[in-house]
Amino acid sequence: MTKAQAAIVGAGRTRFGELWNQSAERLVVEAGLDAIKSVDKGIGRKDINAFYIGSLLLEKTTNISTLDAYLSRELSVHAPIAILKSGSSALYNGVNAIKSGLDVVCVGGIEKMTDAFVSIPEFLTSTIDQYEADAGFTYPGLFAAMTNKYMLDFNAKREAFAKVPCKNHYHGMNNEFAQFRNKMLPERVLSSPLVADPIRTFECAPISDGAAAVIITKPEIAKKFTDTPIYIVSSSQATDHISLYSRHSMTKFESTELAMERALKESSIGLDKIQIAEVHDSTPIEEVLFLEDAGFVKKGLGWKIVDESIKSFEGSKHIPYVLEDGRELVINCGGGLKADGHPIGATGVRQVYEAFKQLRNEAGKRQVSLDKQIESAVLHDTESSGAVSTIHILRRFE
Amino acid sequence: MSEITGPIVRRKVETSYRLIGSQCEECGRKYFPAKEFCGFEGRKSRMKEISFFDDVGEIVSGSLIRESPKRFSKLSPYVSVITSFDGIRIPGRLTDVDPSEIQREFDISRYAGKRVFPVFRRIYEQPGGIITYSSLNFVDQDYHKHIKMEPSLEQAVSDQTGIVGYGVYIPRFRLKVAEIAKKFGKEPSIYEKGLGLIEKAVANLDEDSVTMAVEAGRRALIHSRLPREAIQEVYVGSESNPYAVKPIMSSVIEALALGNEYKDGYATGGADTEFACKAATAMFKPAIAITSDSRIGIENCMVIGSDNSQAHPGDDLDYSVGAGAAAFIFGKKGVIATIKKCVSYTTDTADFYRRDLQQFPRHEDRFTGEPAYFKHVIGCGELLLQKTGMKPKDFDYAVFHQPNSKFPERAASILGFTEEQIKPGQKVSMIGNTYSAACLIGLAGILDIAEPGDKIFMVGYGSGAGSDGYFIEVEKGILDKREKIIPVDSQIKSDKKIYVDYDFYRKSKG
Repeated sequence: MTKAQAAIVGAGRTRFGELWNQSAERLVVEAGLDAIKSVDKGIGRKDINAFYIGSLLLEKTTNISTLDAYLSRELSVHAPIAILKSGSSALYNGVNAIKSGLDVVCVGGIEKMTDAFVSIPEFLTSTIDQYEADAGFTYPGLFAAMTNKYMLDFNAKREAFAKVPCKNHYHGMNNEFAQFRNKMLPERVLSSPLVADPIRTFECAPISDGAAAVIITKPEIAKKFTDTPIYIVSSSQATDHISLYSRHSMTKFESTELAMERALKESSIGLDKIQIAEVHDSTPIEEVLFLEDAGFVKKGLGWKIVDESIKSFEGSKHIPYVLEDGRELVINCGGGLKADGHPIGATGVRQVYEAFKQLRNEAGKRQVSLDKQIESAVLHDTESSGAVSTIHILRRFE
Repeated sequence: MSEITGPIVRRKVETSYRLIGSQCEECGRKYFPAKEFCGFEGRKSRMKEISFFDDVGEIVSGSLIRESPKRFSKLSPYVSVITSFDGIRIPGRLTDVDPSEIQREFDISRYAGKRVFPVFRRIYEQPGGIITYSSLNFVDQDYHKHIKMEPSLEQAVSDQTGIVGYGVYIPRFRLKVAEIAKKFGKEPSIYEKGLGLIEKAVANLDEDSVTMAVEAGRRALIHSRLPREAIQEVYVGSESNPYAVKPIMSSVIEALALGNEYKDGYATGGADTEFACKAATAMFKPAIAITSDSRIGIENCMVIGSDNSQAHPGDDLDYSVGAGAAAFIFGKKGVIATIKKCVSYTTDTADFYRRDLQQFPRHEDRFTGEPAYFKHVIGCGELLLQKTGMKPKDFDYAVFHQPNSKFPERAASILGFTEEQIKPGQKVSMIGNTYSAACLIGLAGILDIAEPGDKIFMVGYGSGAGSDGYFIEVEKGILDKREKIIPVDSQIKSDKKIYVDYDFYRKSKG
């Protein structure tokens, strides 16, 4: 029996991109107020029992290591505020807080990467293993090594990977919040500068500013706030070694596999019920491996499904992956990290925002239209080059 | 990125210098880096320390990193790989890669399965601060040969101390002297014919006197077939230590784990020495002395000469300065050659010097010849002949410090040695002047081919100025360990050496 763990009653976000004139505090407040305002039957700031905010870099980029205290002032609240390293970790903790008895929790995420007085790639080496860093690896470098190993083991075509960002750009074209709304074609991706072979610039998520927030409540009281709450039916997180070299496999994310396994068990929902997914596509290999690690396609076939599904960049608004049984799965409905933008700490919450809107049929021009109503969505966010994966499954019904 | 501090570097030394991992004594599973307990046997498992530094692994995957962190900017772009050592994966940078390889897109199929082994290199530094070294670097075996470390306890013990092992390290990269001449609009023949300088060895951008000292020391240790704890004293002679204050020898001891481990360190001593090009040859005498006197309690002493010296662009030295290192181990077990007589000769002559904080040395042109090199080499050579009571013809080989080819040729001829006697030890024309290592590489080149009973006449030279002379006799034991040698000529003549341009060489000089 599927049992809701929490309900989402409101969601807000800012535009993502290079927001030079916006401060970090303002962005997070803008997203937070947008979320509060979006609650159909109204909610007050004072109704919120706790805040869980995802942010990885603010201390480095903006020299703010006390975001919680800033938020207390900006939002005029005195509830506890916890800072996590990703938006999905914030949600995972927020759901746990609801399960522990809180009524209403605000989950947010923020990043202000263009403030960086250290270069972002420089800082991202602190999110990888110190020996890998001493070996010269970078964050995209590790994904490049995974891509190369994958291509070697499964005889995968290089071009298949280049289609992933193009598909996500295509989805982002109708997203008014997205950092990039231009069409991207594989030829252009494949002629963009190499970052870490074979990964090229146009295959990497951008450096972005932005914030997102959602309001979650106990399922039993959700209808007090809206007639159409979206339910979180599973919230699952798994970790794996920080170092790629000591993980069991270099061609899969075990953390994703484990988190997904638990999430499906927890929700008693089969994969066949999931029609859309928001996936951490900071490089193409992650989206390809998600298809396999989550169980949508067999090991080694992810690239093939990608290659065969993405044929043209014309026509309908979305390009679904056509799975082996003919079922369709739309991934990254609003452009994903690549096109929508990737303010790291906000991404996990932006995924909730996107799925919330899609499941409520409120996504406007980028609304995914399938033969039948979208019922379930899966959200996949990672930290520390895949060492942490968080899976949330969202449903329209309790 | 915040400053890398001494404590962080120190903590990483153990794991990254020797690629230290651990092994479960119950199930035998291995881990890198070391773990406190076995993931399969649980917290009760007993773990022992293991090292992957002497092993060979193979490339599993990797990438050509083009956008690197700032601290790697000097080495960028470069290839980073994940290797497998018998199933245990270790990350590292593939180094000494042909620069043409990084001109094209990385193709994993060219690299996967390639057999590689770890080398100690300089990975990054804080400007004016700590230099971080690591062995998370791999080389393939195209140029570098991997010789298995196989200590033997069954080696014969001699009454007298002698050379028990040696090793020479010459970097893979070379620069043609003609290329330098072209750069400065000079006639190549001035240097090629006039000084006998054809090409010179160039350190890779991650190499310096420290890394070359470690590599030469490692090769000497392998050749000696001694266990690493048997080396209890290390001297490193160099005039190009990247630190004004901080010894090279401590890096050598730590990287090669020389001596008896005690707590977090080694019960091993030594020091760095400086005397221009004779900083290492000068230390043969102390090395012999301390390993001869049982009161000191040192079984074996390692003497290393290592230099990647500076030269002002376009200066005469720019045509000759090379890069390389040589290490000799002295002791009584498994002796391959004995030192029969030693002499020295010194005057206060400022023919070549580098003041503190100056980047480039100065020299007094023709004053470096007659009143400096020749006066001391010939003076010392004469003293050695007097002391041994021998004539030049009584020796099979002679070797001299070699700042170029012409100087030692002329000194040899004045002393009465023939071209045949000096030829096997004359290496400078193809590797350049390796300063503290130059005379030692020449000696190693002779030992590579010498037979038991052969007699060697050696005179080093260091500006400032002085010479050391040694009469060395080759022993029977030399034949027993020859398969453990990477001969000097194999490095000089290797068809896998890589020619670089003047700009690369300049960058490598820092």
